Amino acid sequence: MNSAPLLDVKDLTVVYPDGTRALDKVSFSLLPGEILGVIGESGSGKSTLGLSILKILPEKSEMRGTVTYGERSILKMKENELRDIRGKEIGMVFQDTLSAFDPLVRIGRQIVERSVGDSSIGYREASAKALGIMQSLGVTYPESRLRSFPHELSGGLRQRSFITMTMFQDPKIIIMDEPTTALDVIAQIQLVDLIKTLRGKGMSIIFITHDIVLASTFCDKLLILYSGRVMEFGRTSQLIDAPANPYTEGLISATPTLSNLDSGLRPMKGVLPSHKSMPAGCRFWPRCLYVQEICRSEEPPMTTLPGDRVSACHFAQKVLNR
Amino acid sequence: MTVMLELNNVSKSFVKKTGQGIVRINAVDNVSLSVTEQSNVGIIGESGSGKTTLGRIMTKLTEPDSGLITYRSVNVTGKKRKKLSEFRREVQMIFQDPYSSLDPRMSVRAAIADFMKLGGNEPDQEHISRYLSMVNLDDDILDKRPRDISGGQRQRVAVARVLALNPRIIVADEPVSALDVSIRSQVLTMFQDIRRRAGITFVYITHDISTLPYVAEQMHVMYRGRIVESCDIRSLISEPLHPYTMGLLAAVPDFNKDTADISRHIKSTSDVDMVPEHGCSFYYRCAHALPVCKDVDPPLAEQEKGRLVACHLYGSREASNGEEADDHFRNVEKK
Ligand SMILES: Nc1ncnc2c1ncn2[C@@H]1O[C@H](COP(=O)(O)OP(=O)(O)OP(=O)(O)O)[C@@H](O)[C@H]1O
Ligand SMILES: Nc1ncnc2c1ncn2[C@@H]1O[C@H](COP(=O)(O)OP(=O)(O)OP(=O)(O)O)[C@@H](O)[C@H]1O
Ligand code: SF4
Ligand code: SF4
Ligand SMILES: [Mg+2]
Ligand SMILES: [Mg+2]
Repeated sequence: MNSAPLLDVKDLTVVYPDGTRALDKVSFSLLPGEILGVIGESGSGKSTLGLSILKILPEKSEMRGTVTYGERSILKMKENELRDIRGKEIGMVFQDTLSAFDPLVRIGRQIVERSVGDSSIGYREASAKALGIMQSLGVTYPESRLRSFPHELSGGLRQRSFITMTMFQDPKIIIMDEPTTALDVIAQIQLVDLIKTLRGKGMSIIFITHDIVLASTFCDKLLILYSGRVMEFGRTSQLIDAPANPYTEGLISATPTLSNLDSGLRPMKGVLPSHKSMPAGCRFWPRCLYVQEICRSEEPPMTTLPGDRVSACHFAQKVLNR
Repeated sequence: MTVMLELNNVSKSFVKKTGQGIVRINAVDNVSLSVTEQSNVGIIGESGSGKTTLGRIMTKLTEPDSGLITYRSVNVTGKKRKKLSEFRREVQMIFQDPYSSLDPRMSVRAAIADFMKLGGNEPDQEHISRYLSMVNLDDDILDKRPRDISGGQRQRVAVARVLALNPRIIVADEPVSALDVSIRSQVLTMFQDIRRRAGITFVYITHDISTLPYVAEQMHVMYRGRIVESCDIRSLISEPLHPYTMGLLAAVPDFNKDTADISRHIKSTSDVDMVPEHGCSFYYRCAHALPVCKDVDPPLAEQEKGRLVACHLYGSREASNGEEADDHFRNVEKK
């Protein structure tokens, strides 16, 4: 646990041009060879977080705080410096792989051309490499897949193709935005196996999802977001076995699983607040089972708890000890 | 317990272009099942197994190539859904993506009123509110349009609208997969409530077994267009018989469980397209396969009362290992 973080994010705040504050003082770090699960409901700011790390937000978006990759500060970089980071050091697999590919160009050509770009390897060498990665991802008939057009492949295969394109440049970090939502349970497991293999090769992964139970089966750490704020951050086993935040606890008990059949469904009431009517104090209070007077007026501080974890709740210690 | 809807040996195939050329896909292959009043049906299978096509056949949105469909003892095969006034009102389908079924220009109120009229009732505020309250929504949502409400609310509006028709069967195709986990349980609870209060029978289609126990009792597992196992939900969870079912079940993530190792049941291959010419269509992926499986297609046969399975492992109760099963099947083949 002593190794220096590969990626360090401190007090990252993102405001979109229309004034939406999609992230608010988000802090976390990612170690080499670590899988971080970023969990949150729709609209909580997960994609924004992924896009901010690569600095690919819409023009005129406001970013504050720091994003440090190794020794370098990403937010201070110019476009030409960023080009050496995007794809080469940090890759991203977008949620919608169908629209991320050019529909009119065969998959193989896209992988090779996008990736060869300014690198020194030739076309033939690149094709062989793409084929090799496809095989290592367990894709059968990789040659014929590479000759296919994006719409001809199933969601799972298209996603593997996109991952091939991302892996092609051997990035140190891969950000995957909701990669499993469109997959059935079996394809999900195959993807998770693949992610674990990547970790085995020393890669770090940021796995964005709203599925806390799936993330709990393989992520080393979890970052729980709510309305752009970090609710809890720490090692997966700690957060799942003994959440220190009512929101984490709510997500866990609201998730239908086969082992909690007897306790029945315990849905969380309400929905994420809209950015136009953000509640004062703790953003979660209208839905919180533990809410007290102070929660409605004062934003909870980030409390550090034993075991290197943090929770944003006025009663973090109490919730943990429950 | 009256049988409402019955499918007898229905099949539907499509011609599809793939990386390997043009192929004919048996999306639904000789399926028989019945929907009994108040006993909710669950249909499980991975992507492409034919679940949606089967749901569309049940609701007569797709006409099967062959087979019989009976609704309340009336043969409705070959008749257009539009022409079957009773069927059209009583058998409804809701889809994974509530965007696609709701008109973006219509307010929630108008969407429900519209369906009440279709159902032959004059829309009034009282009834509209009642349908909304059945899906746990307040009246303050009435004048909003689909884009102004959350995904979970949209899915509920889609359900409220269908309820306005007073249906007897609702076929729900992956109704919660597009929703956040937190909203998912709200919608599942709503389904439970509706069944109890409105006496509607659900056919619930999904690839995710973890949501099924809350909404359905009678399960059918589909693989490549066929039913490979049928049983009640408790047996399915506690003692799955078909290797594919075992794999699907093992794949369900759970807290305090490492990523499942489904390789005990389903061999890790993305080569899901390969099928032996004569044998079991699951053969190349099956971790339990016997030699016989490559050459003989296992029929869907009753194992115990109410339990059907299509697998040579259960060819006979005694045939618990490969050799015995082999001998057994040599005998079977001779007959
Ligand atoms: N380009 C944009 N301009 C203005 N607001 C935006 C923009 N993109 C996202 N937002 C808003 O920022 C907030 C966070 O959005 P984001 O896409 O990061 O959420 P998410 O957690 O990825 O959600 P989902 O699970 O639905 O993908 C939301 O309120 C969203 O409406
Ligand atoms: N209209 C169509 N034209 C051509 N092929 C089709 C059509 N509808 C379905 N298919 C094919 O039939 C097979 C079964 O499809 P279906 O949509 O019924 O599966 P599913 O189990 O619902 O899958 P999913 O979980 O991905 O929704 C697939 O191979 C699919 O590509
Ligand atoms: S600060 Fe208060 S409202 Fe917020 S999570 Fe903690 S107890 Fe709940
Ligand atoms: S019949 Fe054979 S190949 Fe098919 S599922 Fe059973 S054991 Fe596996
Ligand atoms: Mg997103
Ligand atoms: Mg489907």
